Amino acid sequence: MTRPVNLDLTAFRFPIAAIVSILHRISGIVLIVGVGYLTYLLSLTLKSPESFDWVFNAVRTTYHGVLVWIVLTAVAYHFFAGIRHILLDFHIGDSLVVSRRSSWTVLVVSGIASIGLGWWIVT
Amino acid sequence: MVDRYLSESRGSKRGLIDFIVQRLTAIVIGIYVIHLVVIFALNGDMDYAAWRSYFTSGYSLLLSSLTVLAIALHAWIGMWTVGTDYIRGEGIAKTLRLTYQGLIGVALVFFLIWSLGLIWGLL
Ligand code: HEM
Repeated sequence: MTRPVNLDLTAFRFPIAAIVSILHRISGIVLIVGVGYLTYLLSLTLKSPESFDWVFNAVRTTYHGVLVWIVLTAVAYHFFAGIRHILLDFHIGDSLVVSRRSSWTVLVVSGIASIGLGWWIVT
Repeated sequence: MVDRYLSESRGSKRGLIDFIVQRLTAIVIGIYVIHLVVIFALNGDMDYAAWRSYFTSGYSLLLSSLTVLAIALHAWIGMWTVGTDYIRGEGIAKTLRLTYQGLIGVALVFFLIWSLGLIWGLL
């Protein structure tokens, strides 16, 4: 006997919900590593005025900016999809139409947040 | 969803506790994320002194401590779920799964000790 995998039956009828769900999982896994990295950078900003300047410069001008952007995008996505997930857990908005629309909302809002974060990082 | 967690083979009671803890910790982390966004939005250009005095305030020390604890619990439950979804069965699969869980556990305990050390080391 196999027990059911953590899968969402609506996923088969509505691929958009499947995409939102798998991205939530991927973003969570990215965050495990990403949060360690952000914590390290944050600790450097608090160490000395020099390392404070170094971090903000590195994030603006080097590959650290790309890494920070990826992690912050994962935070934003996981956050919005997580809120949707919790609402669905309590059967809020779990009708066909609404859950499909909220999937799109999560993708669009996260996309906008990601662009905004990118802009914030480089300016 | 709630119903599904109740019937997970990990044992219904533990599954339900995991379910609740994952949602509560999600809310704690979410509050921390929102609070950081607000801090950044309100004080665009903090210098080192302002930055450090904020992160060493009693309020920030407590909120940060609560948040890293929430992250460790949340990530543990999340990664446990991911592991049991993809590494199934007895024998070698079980060994693999337990190894995976052990590594995640060690990493998260390390993260917790390290980050709490960083937070309280600020004093
Ligand atoms: C540093 C922060 C975080 C990390 C490292 C993290 C990591 C994870 C991981 C690895 C999972 C498992 C994914 C899965 O089972 O598919 C997960 C699930 C989840 N996360 Fe997060 N998470 C974080 C923050 C948040 C926040 C802020 C929220 C909500 C606002 C949230 C809401 C959720 C929910 C509801 C689940 C359950 C998904 C399920 O049962 O399938 N998480 N998280």
